Amino acid sequence: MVVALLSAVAVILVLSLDVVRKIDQQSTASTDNVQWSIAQINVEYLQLLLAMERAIAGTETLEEVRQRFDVFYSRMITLQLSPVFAVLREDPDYTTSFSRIWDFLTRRVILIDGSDADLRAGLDEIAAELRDLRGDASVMGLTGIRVFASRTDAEREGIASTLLQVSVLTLGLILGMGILAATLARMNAAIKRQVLENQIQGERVKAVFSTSLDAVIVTDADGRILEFNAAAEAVFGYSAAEALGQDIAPLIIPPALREAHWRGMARYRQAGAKHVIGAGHLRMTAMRKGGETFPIEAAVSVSTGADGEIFISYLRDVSAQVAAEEELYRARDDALAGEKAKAELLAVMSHEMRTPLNGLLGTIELLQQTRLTAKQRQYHRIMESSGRLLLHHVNDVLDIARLDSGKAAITSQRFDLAPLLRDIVENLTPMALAGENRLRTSLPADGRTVIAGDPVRLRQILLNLVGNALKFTRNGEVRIDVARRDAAGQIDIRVADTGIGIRKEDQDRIFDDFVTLDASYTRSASGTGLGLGIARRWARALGGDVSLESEPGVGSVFQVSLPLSGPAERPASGEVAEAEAQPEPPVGRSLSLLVVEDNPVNRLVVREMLESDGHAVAEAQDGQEGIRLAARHRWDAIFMDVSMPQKDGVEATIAIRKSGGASADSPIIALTAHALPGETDRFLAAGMQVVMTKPVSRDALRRVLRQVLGQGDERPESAGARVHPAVPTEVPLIDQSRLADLIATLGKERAASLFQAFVDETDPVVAGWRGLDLVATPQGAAAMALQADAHRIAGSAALMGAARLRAHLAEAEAAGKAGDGMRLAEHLQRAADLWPETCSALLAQG
Amino acid sequence: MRPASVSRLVMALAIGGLLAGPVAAEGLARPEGEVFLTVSGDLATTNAPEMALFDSALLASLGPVEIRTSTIWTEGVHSFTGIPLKALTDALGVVGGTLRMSAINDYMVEVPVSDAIDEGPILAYEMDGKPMSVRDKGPLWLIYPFDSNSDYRSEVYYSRSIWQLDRIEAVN
Repeated sequence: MVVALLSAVAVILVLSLDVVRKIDQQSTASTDNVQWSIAQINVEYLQLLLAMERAIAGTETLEEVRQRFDVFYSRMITLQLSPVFAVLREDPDYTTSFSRIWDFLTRRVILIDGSDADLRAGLDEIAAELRDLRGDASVMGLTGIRVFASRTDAEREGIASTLLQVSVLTLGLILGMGILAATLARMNAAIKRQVLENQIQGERVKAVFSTSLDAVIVTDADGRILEFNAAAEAVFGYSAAEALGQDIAPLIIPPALREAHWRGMARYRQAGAKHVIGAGHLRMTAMRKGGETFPIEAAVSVSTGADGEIFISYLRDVSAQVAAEEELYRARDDALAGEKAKAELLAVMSHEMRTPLNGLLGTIELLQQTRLTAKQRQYHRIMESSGRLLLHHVNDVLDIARLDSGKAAITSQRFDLAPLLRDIVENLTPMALAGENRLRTSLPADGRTVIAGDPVRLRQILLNLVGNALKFTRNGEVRIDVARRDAAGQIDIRVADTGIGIRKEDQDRIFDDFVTLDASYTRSASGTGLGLGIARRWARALGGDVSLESEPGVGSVFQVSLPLSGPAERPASGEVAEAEAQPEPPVGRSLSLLVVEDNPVNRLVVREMLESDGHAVAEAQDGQEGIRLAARHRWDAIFMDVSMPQKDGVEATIAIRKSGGASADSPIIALTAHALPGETDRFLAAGMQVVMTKPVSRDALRRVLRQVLGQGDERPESAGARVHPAVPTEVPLIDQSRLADLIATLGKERAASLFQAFVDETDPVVAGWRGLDLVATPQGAAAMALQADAHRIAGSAALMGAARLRAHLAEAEAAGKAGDGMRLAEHLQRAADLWPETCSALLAQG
Repeated sequence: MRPASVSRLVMALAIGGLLAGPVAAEGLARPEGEVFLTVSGDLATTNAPEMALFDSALLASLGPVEIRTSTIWTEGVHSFTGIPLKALTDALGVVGGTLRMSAINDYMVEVPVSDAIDEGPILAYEMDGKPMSVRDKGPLWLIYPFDSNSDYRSEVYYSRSIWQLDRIEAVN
């Protein structure tokens, strides 16, 4: 723009000078002798002619003629030679006329320059010739005027055109200047606005900076402090005057951290590496003026200042926050420690309470076999029921501990619901009668009462719910209705009463622990307030739930919903619950058994119970004695208390297994009051086969013996042939959480097709395992193939949560690797045994 | 005293000065040959009543110079010999005003006395070493040094370059 304007000015200047020059020429044209010279052609011609005619007439001298001739002659030469008249000489008319006159002058000059006499004599002739040239003189003059007039016109036009150009350019220039001026004005306004905005912005930033609650420190690239706000003064203890211009590091960074700070700054300068800058809020340690260090939260950003990069640090003193956080952590740790202490207390309690209880109940049971009077039998009954109730409460508390620790041992087996309900009704009929209540059950109409699940836990749930219903019902009815809902894959058991009901606001609360509502009736049985909580916990542990509908004054309905899972061949848990109600027949032959137990009462109870079934029982008072006896004699089975002074049951078991003594391969049954599931692993790992929880009952003893020895048949020579290999028996058939994860991940349909594929693929392989020979055990390539199959299927089983199947397959694989063909075969057989149950459980999920 | 009286007094004094002129004119010789230039008007020095008459010898006595220049009326560069106009005005005591110059061909032009400077115009009477006849724009031709001073190459000076000059009148 400016260049264009300057060019325009230059052009205008040049043109103006041109115009001035041309106008100057025009102004001086009047004095220009060119026009005059041309006009003089005629004048001087006529003067010459006049001079001649007067000389002829005698009124003029010859001298005058000569002079006029010379003047005319001179004019002609000038016209002929001067460059000024060159343009005329191009005109043909002019040239012709000039030639005639010039011819006359050159011819007659001799006469003019000659003597007066000759001149006078020729004067008439010359004059006559000159007269004939009059037209030519006129032509020359007129041509000259015409040519120079047109040239002047052209010059004027040139001037006019130049003036026009100047005008146009001037107009353009003015326009350009106008635009430039407008632009400048706009720019000026914009700059003014910008300046104002900057000022406002600056003031705002200043206000933000000075009123910030966080300390704000601005430094240059070398760490020199440029800004130090009021909050920074308060936090760090330096005044702004002290801080400004100082290196930030010695001021606010603790000595131990300065080296790291300088390294970080150097790294940033060299490589632009940012660790702190732009990393958001970082927890760091800073230092106050007095050298006290304290925690800060820092956010550092980089910006460009007037002299290069500047660093803006927002620093917040978080001492109080950190202290509060630490307090919180402490409180949490304390709470966790408290929880742990509670769990430990429960475990100790279980031991301390169940051991004497074990003695008490065992003795009561023994007492029954003695001769008693009618009165004594009545007392005996009271003692027994009181003892059972006490045991029930202890078990309640232990159940809570187990369920809350997520380690509840759950079995899945096929069982008939009808006898279970019958048993519950029988058990609770006295209580129903006491409350003048009717107790009724209704089973599914189609009579399909066989379901899969954990009968022990279901029984416990229903006992709790029905017992609770009877407690709060008088002169009414308690119904147990079973509805099988195959489509939803679940079974609903409703316990409905016509009792006092539960208010809406209490309906959730009653499932909480130790909640006993203000009952209208005196309690017929003492309650811990744990019953409903336990029922719900167990139901949830089984994959179901307990729900409640109730109307005060009308009644309550507790509904247990449980998933229908696949059939089970047999109870799989190594833990035999004492509450199992089915009576067990005694083992069909006399066994030689060893009981290792430090508590004399418990030892007596167990021995009496076993002897009453016709077995030969030896006792050992501690682990050491047990080891000695086991080495000497081959026992059919050894009952081993876990908690004993000095050598405990676990150590003793390990010693027996390692001893290579007579009973090194005998089944060992753990007796423990430690019911927490985590410990079972330890016992089984030590070489025990089954874990029994005290107190023990005769039925439990019979069942365990049958389990470890087979169905009471002759004990085969091959040691432990029917004793199932040591696999952690509390491994659940199905790891429900794993399975749920898988289904959640894949979706129900894809999971179902995956399970089907797994079943189809595995079925033929498993069929081959059933016929494995345990005597001529697989060796070499055959063993390798079996091991490979086990490995492959174990992987799939793990994926689908078939935990127990996987455990046996893993054992089989390990045995194969170790070259133990027999253990390989045993575990594969066991896996084959588990197979139908596992299939059903998986396919039921689809 | 009214201003008009002052003017009259000044004029009277000026006339007095002029009356003293013939005494001073004693320095200018009388022409002996044919007179070819007549200068009249306000002259401080004369050699005839109120006039200065020059023949070629008298004019040449004023100190001739030679300039080489081209003109728009001639072809090529020529050598012109003549008396600087300044020499003439100095000799005649003409200090200001205008020189009204007339030619044989009746051309007339007014040349300001301020033109009479060193390196200025000359009254040429020879071209290329030869006296100029009337046919050759003689007897006198006022030649400005056109080539050496571009200021002179303009219509104003072209028009003042009078040839066939024979009369000058100094007008105040």
